[in-house]
This record gives sequence, structure tokens and C-alpha cells, in this order.
Amino acid sequence: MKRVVSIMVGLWLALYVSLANADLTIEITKGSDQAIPIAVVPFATQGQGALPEDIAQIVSDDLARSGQFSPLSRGSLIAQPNRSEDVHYRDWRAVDSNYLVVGQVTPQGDGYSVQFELMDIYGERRMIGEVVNVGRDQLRSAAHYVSDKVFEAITGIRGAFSTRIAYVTAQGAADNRRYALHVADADGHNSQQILSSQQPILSPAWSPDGNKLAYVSFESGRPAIYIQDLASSQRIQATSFEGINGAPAWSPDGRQLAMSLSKDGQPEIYIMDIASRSFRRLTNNSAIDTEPDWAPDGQSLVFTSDRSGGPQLYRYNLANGQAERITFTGSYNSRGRFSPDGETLFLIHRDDQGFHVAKKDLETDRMTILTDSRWDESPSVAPNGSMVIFATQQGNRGVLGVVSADGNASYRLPSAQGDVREPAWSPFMN
Amino acid sequence: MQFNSYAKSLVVAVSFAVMAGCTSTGGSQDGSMDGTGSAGAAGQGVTSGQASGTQLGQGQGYGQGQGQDSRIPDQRTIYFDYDRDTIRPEFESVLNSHAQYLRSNPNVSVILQGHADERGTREYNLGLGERRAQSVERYLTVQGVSPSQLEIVSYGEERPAVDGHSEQSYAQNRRVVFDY
Amino acid sequence: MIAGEAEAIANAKQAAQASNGFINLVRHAIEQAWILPASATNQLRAVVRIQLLPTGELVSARIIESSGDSVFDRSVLQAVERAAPFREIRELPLAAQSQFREFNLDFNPKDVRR
Repeated sequence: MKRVVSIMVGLWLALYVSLANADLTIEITKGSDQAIPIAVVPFATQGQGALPEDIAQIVSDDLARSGQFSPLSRGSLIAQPNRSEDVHYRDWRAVDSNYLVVGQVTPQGDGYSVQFELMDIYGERRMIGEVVNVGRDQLRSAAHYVSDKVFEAITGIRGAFSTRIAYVTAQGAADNRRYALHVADADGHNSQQILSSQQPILSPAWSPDGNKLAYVSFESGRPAIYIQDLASSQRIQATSFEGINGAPAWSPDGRQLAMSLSKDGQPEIYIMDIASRSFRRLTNNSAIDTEPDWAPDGQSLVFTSDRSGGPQLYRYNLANGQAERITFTGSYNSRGRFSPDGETLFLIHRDDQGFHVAKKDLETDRMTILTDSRWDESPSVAPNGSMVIFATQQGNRGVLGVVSADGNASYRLPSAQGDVREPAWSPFMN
Repeated sequence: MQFNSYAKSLVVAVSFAVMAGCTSTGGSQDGSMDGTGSAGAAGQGVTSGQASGTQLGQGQGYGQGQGQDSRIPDQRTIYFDYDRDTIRPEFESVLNSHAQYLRSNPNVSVILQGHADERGTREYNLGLGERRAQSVERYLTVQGVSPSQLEIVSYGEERPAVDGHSEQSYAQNRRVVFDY
Repeated sequence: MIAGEAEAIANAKQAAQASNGFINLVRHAIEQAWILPASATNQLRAVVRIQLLPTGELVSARIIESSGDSVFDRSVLQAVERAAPFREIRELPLAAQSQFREFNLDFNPKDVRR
């Protein structure tokens, strides 16, 4: 009887707790998608005078905008170390910070020397430390560089804070509108106007090396595709056929431009070899075929076509010349853009509420709407695939928005007057 | 609330002003437009953005150009339904007057500017604007106009006649403009 | 005799329930503290061995089976550190307390996007 009891006791225990002393294992199958707490201490300045830029603030803002980090507010910084030797890890555990960034700036020659270090608070170790030397007016660049390094060390994903964006502005009344093409840092700062016109400008596209922009300009009264070198401002007119000359998209090797031309009646997808200026026509039907984008491996293109009635995305296989419809959810799917790994398409999807940025997993076919704004256009993916910039409406104005690839974080880029639209995220610049 | 009165004024304005090539002042509510006084002209400035042909007499009917083969017909804009490129019956007489003018003046050429409303993606809308202009081109050539007199330029949604996100604005932006 | 057995069974039941409660508590605390890396996939798995003091303070947490991904491994160690201490261990029956002085955590995300 006693044995029966102890067996039963044993069974009860065994049911819930593994009796083998060393082998109790608890499975953890879920995590939280909260942002990673990180403390960025204001960088110390050696020498006199305040710096023109607050590096720690720029780093903090970069990391926060990614949606993956939640930087501690300055008020909750428990100490102000500037070197890893001065860090007391226990202090930072007390404020629940997983990571800590410290650094200092020293004037050097005609510029600055920026030193920074990243610490893993719970691992109690320094993860990275580096010194960067920059010119007098390059403190913002230095800060974005720090953000890139911190982001990569923590997430394993290359940071894209040092990249740039191109976009188009439109200002003035309908009968007296001024269009301009700009290039700016990814956070919207340091904008430069590179073209201005009284006629529409659209569809800027970065060359894979980040040195050139292709775009559509109506400046001659008709649409034409131009390729402009950003450093020299020199440009060539790539196409000026009768009809639509639109939607330029660079091949991954930068030698070809896919585009939409209606010179033969309807908008069709063509590939132009830039050096030889020869053209190859990919599509041939009575529908609108436009908005091509190359898969990162260069083997296929996605494009918009309304051959089935409404706009849907199709994938053209360059090896066999076949185009296959790939979107079936909803009556409006357009302007597909590949993620850098080629596994996901970002696109504009219309539902009852309006036009949203959405993504489609090419393996599972799952479509996920990323934004709740109603007038989204022109998605363009950051080169690390973590964020998507797009045009949307705020009040009655066109503004640029950015949403994380998982849809969990979003922000609007500040803008001056007028409408801002047609954003294009640059490739990595270094 | 504000939207309601805005929409209402647009409905009133549109209902008897659109045909005359005039527009409401609704567009002036858009933050990107400077001032309110220019909005009336804005609706007419759609022909090219250049100086030509923008000062139409308000209130003139679209049939008035007929019979005056030496004069460019006054009504130079026709409108389309959402996502359609079919010529609405009420605009056939406008097209007929242009056809007659172009036949009588074979040395004159015209750019047919195709436009779309702002909904949807920009490059796709270039295609929609072009379809509308092609629809007008087909109508004119059937009427005996030489194709060499006609050129199509689609602006898609890039050059709206009026700003705003109402169906009334969209209706005025889905159009083909004769730019002589 | 009979009463003693009934009591033993009742005690065992109670101990098992308490243990179960503690497991749920630990699991919940760690799930809350585990910030899944953006790059996490359901292919990744890491096992962490943890040692606790009788008070529930963390003595050590170490990877005994690596995911092969340093970002993932770091994230699970941070989760344990953030979730500790587990003071509720003191409320367990004595026999169960010893069970939980050392145990494994098997991190294997099931519900990630890919």
C-alpha cells in the first residue's frame, strides 16, 4: 500500500516536473516584440565650445526611428560615463537598459575625432569601440555611422542610417506649380535640390552604386527618362519616345534600365542597355504594363499590369520570357518592390479603406498590410530591408512616411512647404 | 463638419460650373495652394501650364464653337468616369466641334493631354491618362481628323486641375484637355 | 495509515501544482523579457542552463546549446537576466525547491513570421 502511494506521488510529480534532477527544461516559445532598451549617453566634448551637432541625440533618434530600439530619455540616464572603463554595469541594469553607448568628440585638425563604444549591460562586456575622424561639417555623418555600427552589432543587420533618399516636391497652385527633385540624408536632413522644373518630375531611381539617379521629367513638354550623375550634375536623356517614357528601374549590375514605354501603342515593359542604347521589349498586350522592379538576383522582374482587368503584380522570368501573375488578394495591387533578399515584395494594396503599403511573402504568398494611412504610394525599401519609405497624405499635403518591414513602427519625415512625394531609398553608400 | 459644407459648395459649384470649364474655389483649401483668388483660374490653366488658351469666357456652352471653323472651340476639356476611358455622350458634341475645326485646319495640330485622378500609383495613372487621350484620338480620327494632327501626352495624376480628396475633385481631374 | 496516504497524495498534488505554478511564472517572466531579434526564425533554438540561489537570485546563466547565431544567443541570455530573480521559488514546498535550483530553458520561437 505504501508503495502504491509513493508511486502515485511520483506520478504526480513526474506529470509536471521531470524527476531527473538535472533535466528539468522549460520551453520558451514566445518572446515580446518590444523595442530594445538602450542608453545613449551624451558624448563628452574635449576642448572648448559646444559642438554644432549632438551626436548622442542623432544616434538616439536614428535607433528609435528604426522601431527596434527604445532609447532611454536623457532624464533617466543614471550616470554620464564617456569611456567603457567608467561604466558600472549594475547601474544600467537598475534602469533596465540592455545596452549602453558612450563616446567623446575631440577636435582634431580641421575636423573631429569621434570615439564611441557599445556595451552589453547584462553580458557586462564592451561589444565594439571605434574612432572615426571626420571633417568639420561631417558630424551628422559621424553620428549616422555610429548608429550603423551599433545597430549592426546588436541586431546582426547592417545599419542603413548613412544612406540617402531622393524625393520630389511640388509647390504652388495647380496652374503655377513648381516641381523639384531633391536628395537628402535618410533622416531628411541635408537636402539638396538637384533639378527644378515647371513640369512634372517623377519616379527617381538610384543606380546600384548610388552615384546616379534615373528619373522621368516632363520638362520638354513630353515625358523623357534622364540619367543624372549626382557628383557632377551631368546628365543624359536616356529615352524620349512618343508616348509614355516611365518607371525607370536599374538592373542589379547597373548596366540596364527597365522601363515602361508606350511608343508602340500601349505601355509595355522594355529593357534598355545603357551603353549601347539598345532596347528589348518584354511584354506585348493591350494592357498597361508598368512599374518594373528587378529581383536582386537579376533573373526576373516584377511589374504592374491590368491585363486581368485591374492592376495586379506579375513576375517576368528573363530566362523563359514568361510572365506569371503573383497577386490575387484584392482588386488593386501595384508598384511592387523587392526586399534586398528577394523573398518579399513591398507594394501598394487597395482595400475598403484606401491605398496602403503592404508586403507579400513570396514563399508563403501571405499578404500583410503595413500601414493604416489611406493614400499611400511609391514604396521604396531601405537597402538593409528593415524599413520602407513611402508617400502618403497628412492633412491635405503629401508627406513621406517610413514603416518598418514588420509594420510595427512608423514615422513621418519632417518636410517643408508643399507636397512631398516619390521617395526612393538609396543603396548602401559605402 | 467643415468637410460637409466644403463638399456641398463643391456640389453646387460643380453642378453648373464644370461644363463651362470653370472650377470651384474648393482647391484653395489645400495647404499647398497660395491664396484663394487664383483657384478659379487654376481650373482653366490646365491646358498646358504655358500661357496659351487659359482665358476662357466663363459660362460659354460647349457647343458654341461649332460652325466657326476658323476658331478653336472654347470647350477644351472633357471629363471621364472613374476608371473609364469611354467618351460620355454629353461630350460628343465637344469632340465633334474639335473634329470639325481640325478637319478644316489640316495644318493645325493639337496635343491631347490625358489626366487621371490621384487615386492609385503614379506610373499606372500615366497609363490611365494615356488611355483616355487615346479614346479621344480614336473618336477624332473616326471623324476624319488626320492622325498626324494629333499627339498624346499623358500626365497621369501629376497635373490635377484641382486639389483635394473628394469625389468632386477627382471628377474634375479625370479629363482630357485639348492643348492647341 | 489510510489518512497518511491520503495526506501524502494531497501533499504531492499540492507540490506538483506549486511546481507547475512556478514553471508558468518563470515562463511568463522570460517571455515578457525576451526581446525577439528581428532576424529570429523558428529554425533557431538555444538552451540555457540556469542556477538559482534558494532566494531565487540568479547565480549563473549559460548557453549549453547554442543556436549558432550570436544575436539570438545574446537575446536569450539577456532575457534570463532581465527576468531574474525568481523569488517565488521560496514559496515552493522544500522538495520542489531543490528541483528548481538548477534547470534548463529551451528557447525555440514558434510564432515568428518565418
